[in-house]
Amino acid sequence: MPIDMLGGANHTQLLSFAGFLPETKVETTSFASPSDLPRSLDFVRLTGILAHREVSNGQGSFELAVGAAKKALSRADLDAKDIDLVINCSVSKMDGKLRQHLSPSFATLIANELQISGAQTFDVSNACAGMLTGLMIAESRIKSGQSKYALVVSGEHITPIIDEAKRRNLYLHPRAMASLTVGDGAAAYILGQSEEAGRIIFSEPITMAQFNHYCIGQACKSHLGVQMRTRAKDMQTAVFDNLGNFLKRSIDYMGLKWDKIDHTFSHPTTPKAVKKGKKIAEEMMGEINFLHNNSQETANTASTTHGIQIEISQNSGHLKSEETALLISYGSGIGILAMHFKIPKGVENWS
Amino acid sequence: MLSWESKKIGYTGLLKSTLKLAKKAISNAGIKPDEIGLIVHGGVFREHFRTEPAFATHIQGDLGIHCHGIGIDSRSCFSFDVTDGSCSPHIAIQSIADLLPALPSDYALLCIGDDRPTKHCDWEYESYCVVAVIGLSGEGPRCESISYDNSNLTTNLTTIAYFDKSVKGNNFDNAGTVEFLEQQYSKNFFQGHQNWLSGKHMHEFLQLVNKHDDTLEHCIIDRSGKSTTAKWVF
Repeated sequence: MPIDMLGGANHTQLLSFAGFLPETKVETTSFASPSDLPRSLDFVRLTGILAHREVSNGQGSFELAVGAAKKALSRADLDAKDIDLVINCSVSKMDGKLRQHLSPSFATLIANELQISGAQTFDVSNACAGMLTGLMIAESRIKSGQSKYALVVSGEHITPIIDEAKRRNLYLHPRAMASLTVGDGAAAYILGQSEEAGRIIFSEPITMAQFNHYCIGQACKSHLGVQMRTRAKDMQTAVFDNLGNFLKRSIDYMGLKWDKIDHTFSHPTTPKAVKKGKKIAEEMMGEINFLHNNSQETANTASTTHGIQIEISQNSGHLKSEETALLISYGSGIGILAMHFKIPKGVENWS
Repeated sequence: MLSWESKKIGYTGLLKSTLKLAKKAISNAGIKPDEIGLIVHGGVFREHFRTEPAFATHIQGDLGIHCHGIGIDSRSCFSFDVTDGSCSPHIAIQSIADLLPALPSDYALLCIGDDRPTKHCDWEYESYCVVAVIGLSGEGPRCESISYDNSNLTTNLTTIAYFDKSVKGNNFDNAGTVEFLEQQYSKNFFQGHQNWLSGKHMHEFLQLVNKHDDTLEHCIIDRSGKSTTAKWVF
């Protein structure tokens, strides 16, 4: 199927989204009680994370991603054959045996499982900002007429980094502490064409590469599994020092009015960090209408965090058709970007 | 594609080689590093099977492109990776074509290559590093279209990283057996060997660019059987 590099000028809309969580719930106190941690840290008080979800036997990034994709397809009322672009944005791509998938793209396997035939498939890798990066590429493809319906999906099986951190002596390896803040989960979005302009708008994406060494994820060198080393405090400072200006210029760039944004979702490294970010955002931009800070029981699920947060908000009945939402994303690198969209019609009736 | 550089590299050292070639390519394109607004890297294998951050952020950081805080009017650069087996170069080119027109900058850096992940990996591949400056306008080969074909895909021909207990280290495994397609070259068509990695596919293609003055179709067939074809106009 040929894809012209210069296409027409269509508009794009979000047709559906879905968050998907594995059933097993793990309380934070079961693995990070004060007696487990250096200086008897009260990890729950420090982060605001009460619990997270973990995969069951036989589950991995793939199974989670497929679960989210099926839900999003059903909500968009589309058949698999309608999808002509699949982008996967998982950081982990890890199965239940802690093997990391490398090639062909994870998106190819997901499309095959969903019986999406004939779609172009590839992976985008940009840490926790990967999902919004993938959505930005999909939006561009639809806008230029190269694609009609795109599935952007991610499944994150990242909780093995908790085990790795616990196995290490956290007194000697304090940079493993952030590994205790993660959870497993998946998210998917379906994008399609629209006759109405402005249903999806992206900010200018920015990478502050001077901080690219603040969070490194890779295979453990001498043990089974993966590890993450994070200068959590430095990373948070880097983001917060730049958040105000990022929001100011992004809102101008996107042609939005801050007080007209109905719902705001930030990347929840921790619920406590979201609260701190709120203060900075409100000092620069004014009051936020509704900041959704609901990762207390799901933790940081990497690239899938926004999908899971908006799923929780949808389940709670907070979202209405045609309201507007802003997703603010940042990830290791440090990549930062935002997406503003109109909430799909019929969202109140999704199961 | 305004300028390009490529070379064979050793088992490791992709980042070092990429930086060296990038500086040359940027200089040959007649632009300054700060004019680059987008960096996209394509490849499969990274040192220690690293998953984050994106390799492209290391390139941006070490080249010092817009490594400053965000100001209200400051210029910026965005970096990320794409992957789809050996077809990664075409996905990277397409991603640049998708995003660059919407960004404030007119130039992007395309970086392709793989590192041998660990010393435990049996590495039968030749690693190449490729860097190109892509512009929205200017002289140079123009990528007119990229097509894809999944009809020969065999989904169990996967490549997986795993921990090898016998050597207490990480390795990778290519599942299944493939009868590799040889390289093909005719007047307006070039297809690399099916067992090449991304970097070699692009390197060999670039060796042919100066020999053409009309069009050249560059086909990459991944080990899994899926393929992409880029049509270049000179």
